[in-house]
Amino acid sequence: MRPAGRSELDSLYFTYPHFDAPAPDAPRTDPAPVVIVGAGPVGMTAALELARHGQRCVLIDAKDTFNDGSRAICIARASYHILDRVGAIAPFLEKSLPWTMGRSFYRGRQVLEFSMPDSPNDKYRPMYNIEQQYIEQYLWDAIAREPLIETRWQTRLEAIEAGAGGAVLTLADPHGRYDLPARWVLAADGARSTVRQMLGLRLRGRNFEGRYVIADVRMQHDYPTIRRALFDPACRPGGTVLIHRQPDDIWRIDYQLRDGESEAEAISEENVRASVTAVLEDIGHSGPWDLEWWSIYSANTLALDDYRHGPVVFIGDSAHIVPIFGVRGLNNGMADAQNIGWKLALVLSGQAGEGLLDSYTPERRGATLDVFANASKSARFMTPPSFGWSLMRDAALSLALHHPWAGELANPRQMAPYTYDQSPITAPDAGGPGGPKPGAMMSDVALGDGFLSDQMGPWFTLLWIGEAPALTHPLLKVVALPAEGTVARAWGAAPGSAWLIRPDLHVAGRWAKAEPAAILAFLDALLERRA
Amino acid sequence: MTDTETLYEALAGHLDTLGQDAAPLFLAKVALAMGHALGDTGRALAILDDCAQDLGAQPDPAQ
Ligand SMILES: Cc1cc2nc3c(=O)[nH]c(=O)nc-3n(C[C@H](O)[C@H](O)[C@H](O)COP(=O)(O)OP(=O)(O)OC[C@H]3O[C@@H](n4cnc5c(N)ncnc54)[C@H](O)[C@@H]3O)c2cc1C
Repeated sequence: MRPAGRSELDSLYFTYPHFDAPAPDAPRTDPAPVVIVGAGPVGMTAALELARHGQRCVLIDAKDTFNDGSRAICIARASYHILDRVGAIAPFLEKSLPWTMGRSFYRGRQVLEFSMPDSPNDKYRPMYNIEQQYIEQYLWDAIAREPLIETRWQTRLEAIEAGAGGAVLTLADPHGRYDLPARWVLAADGARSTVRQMLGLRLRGRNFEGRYVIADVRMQHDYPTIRRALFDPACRPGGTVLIHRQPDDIWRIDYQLRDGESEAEAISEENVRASVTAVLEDIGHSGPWDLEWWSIYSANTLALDDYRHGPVVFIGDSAHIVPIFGVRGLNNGMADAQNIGWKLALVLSGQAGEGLLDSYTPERRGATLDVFANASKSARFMTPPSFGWSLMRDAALSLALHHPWAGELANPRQMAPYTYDQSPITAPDAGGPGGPKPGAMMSDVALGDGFLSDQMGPWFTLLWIGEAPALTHPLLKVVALPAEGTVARAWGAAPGSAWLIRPDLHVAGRWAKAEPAAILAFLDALLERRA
Repeated sequence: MTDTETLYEALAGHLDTLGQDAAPLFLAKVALAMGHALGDTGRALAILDDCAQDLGAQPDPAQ
């Protein structure tokens, strides 16, 4: 919502573009290898990942511009690696605000200062703040440069027929209605997914107590870019407030509503202004400020049981809704997009069997369940659901005034990338050579002129300590790393150690005394899995 | 050896000073801090279960 007199797209700092529908005479019905429904940040990331691997897609969206309001603002390191891989990273680095730490306060006194893991070996910082409009704009700029992606704005999915060999989508734009056949469909159509409803699928999970208003304000405010959490502050007795800095002097304020406080009243402009004024007083901001946008939100942990239904694969909010405390909503969706993107590209080009796609749900739904576990802990701390949780939360915060161990209970633990160690395509770990474990995201290492992650090939990469054997595979780049070199030392690895890295930088397998033939056999088994 | 009587008296003294309203929060802090000091999660949990007995909420016979 925006202040009276301003429309949904009338932002203080962002100019929304307008996208035309396809021309009346544009061809529309040629069968597409992939149709992506929804050009939100997740659908756009999937389109870029497919294009990076040489695959064409049609990307449709019902709207004529980007999502309104700044929504998701905290983008994690792993997502920056995704943006890097799809060639969209440069403007993000220029615009966003990196951060590494947070502070929590209880009744005005600091009880916790936490840092997220970060070192000179990391190419990217643990977290970056940037408004979702810019995320969408910069992804779109990359898409506009990409001839393999055909985008159709103002094009709404109205019906879908899915069978074993593909789907037929009924689409409508200002010039009419038509059927578009597609071999594969990526449903990136958000939390209220039309595709999900039309296939009769339901999200399952639970809703949490506690509703928050999220408000963006513009102000000149001198405070570093960190996560600030205020528990039981003077401005909201018994409630919780979160404050994040964004680019363009925009600040995100999330504040919890009291039990029994009516939503309709809480989101009136007058009440939002009064609540924001109280928070700003509390943090010592006395200068002027402008209200940019606000919304209301409550925490849910909801997901589909299976992210794939025949030719239809769900990615992003259509597949799962996670509480924002973990800042995983969008980050999780971008990882979905990359995961299905490279796998589908291999299947489409005939370089992998369809069975490879069976690893998508266990990997990405597993990641979502992991987010649920962490976010549920966070949600219970931020918004205790009952007498018992509330009393113990206050006991922990009160103890934390003097005892750091108790403050750790307030640590939001926002940054543990998920490990695919249970995935059907991850090699069992036979007591590896050190370094990143099978399933984990490869840890980065600073090399003289860049980072290890910069050395990765477009598909799989074999990192080999010492002189690498002559080993060729069309999807494999072999990178020999010197024994006693930076990586060997960082990972404590002896000559002959090897790691097979996937296109999404996760470790497919690692071997202490690597046998080239065994690695090739493993890779071929991974690719040729038959459905 | 813990001098239980001294502990008992000190708890009563604190509870009287703090009053009924602050008592639950005080006792919750005590439980958490003592559990932490004990350094043995299993024992701490067993003590919690033990202390939850005989307080009115009847255990579910189906469990
Ligand atoms: C008000 C609000 C506040 C939020 N705040 C935060 C936050 O603070 N932190 C956080 O991490 N996350 C937040 N989120 C969540 C975050 O915005 C989402 O996780 C993220 O946008 C998901 O991206 P997506 O691409 O999966 O879906 P979306 O961004 O929802 O994109 C879906 C797209 O599909 C299109 N579409 C839908 N139906 C059809 C159809 N039938 N035909 C054609 N196109 C269709 C829509 O037009 C839209 O562009 C918020 C979300 C909302 C709504």
